[in-house]
Amino acid sequence: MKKIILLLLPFFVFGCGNSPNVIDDLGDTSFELLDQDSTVVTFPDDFQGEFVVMGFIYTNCPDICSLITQNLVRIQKEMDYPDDVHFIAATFDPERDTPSTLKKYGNAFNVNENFTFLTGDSAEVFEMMDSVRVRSQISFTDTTDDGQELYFINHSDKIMVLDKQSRVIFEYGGSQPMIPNIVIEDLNKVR
Amino acid sequence: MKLFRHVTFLAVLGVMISCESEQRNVEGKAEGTGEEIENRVRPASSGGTSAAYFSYINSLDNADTLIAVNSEIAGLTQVHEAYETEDGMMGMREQKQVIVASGEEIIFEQGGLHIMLMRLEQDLKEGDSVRVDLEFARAGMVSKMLPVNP
Repeated sequence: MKKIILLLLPFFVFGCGNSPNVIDDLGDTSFELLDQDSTVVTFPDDFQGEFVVMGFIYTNCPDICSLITQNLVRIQKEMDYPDDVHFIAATFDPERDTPSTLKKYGNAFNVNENFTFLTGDSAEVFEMMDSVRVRSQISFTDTTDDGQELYFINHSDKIMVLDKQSRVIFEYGGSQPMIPNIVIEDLNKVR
Repeated sequence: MKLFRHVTFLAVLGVMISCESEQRNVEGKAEGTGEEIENRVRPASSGGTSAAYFSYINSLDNADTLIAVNSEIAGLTQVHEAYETEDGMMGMREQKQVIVASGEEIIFEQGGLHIMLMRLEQDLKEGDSVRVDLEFARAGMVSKMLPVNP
């Protein structure tokens, strides 16, 4: 009887395929970026050994991107600021989103210390964006009467989760209101 | 052998039940998110960009048109609409005019029509209040005082 139960145990343990499919393996990639304190960050290497919840934003976008940032903050808060999960918001507007701009933007959202904003050299940033299939395109530019530049960017709406080996295992529509609950549910299955 | 068949059946049943319980009900998750109308301005830093969310009911007997928006805390204020492009990207575009039918409620909300407050002239912190002026073709000037909330 014991032998039969032992033989059938794997059906219960692995029967549901709890290991998620790998969408992208970033283990072999490496990008030199800057965080909001102008510290050099190597992505994803510096985050290996942690789960990463990552969204993509630009600070001149107060609506969709604020929803994405808000969702990242909400996930972190509702998970009670977990030590093994790092939160990242990377900009696809690196020329304007300098480290200090990102820091000010983060302050408005009361981000926790385990939350990193990423920017850097444009070529490096866009290479990183390509590697995770995040698209962005300037959709409108104008100069106001007082000479100020006005611009908007069309962009992907994405939050993704990386496992401890820097593999993308989940992707979501980043600005959707139900996303925090789904991300938490998914993370709790694999942590 | 009979015992083996019974245990096998129970095992398969167990796997089916446990897999079933893991299926995600996305629709169910969305239900609890609420569709409350917001009444706030998002916190932001001086020089940055924020947005105002609220609703307005046109109580006139005629349709009205929102023709201008302004706020003294922003260098530039515009009505914007978030939209999805044909190739699946998200974008924003200015709405120069917004027509509101008689008795209709217009909702400025995240992910939809909203008031953009650009080039902020001061930090907007929780607890602050922001006045947004709306100029309608028929109703004239309407002011909204909105709290700053994350």
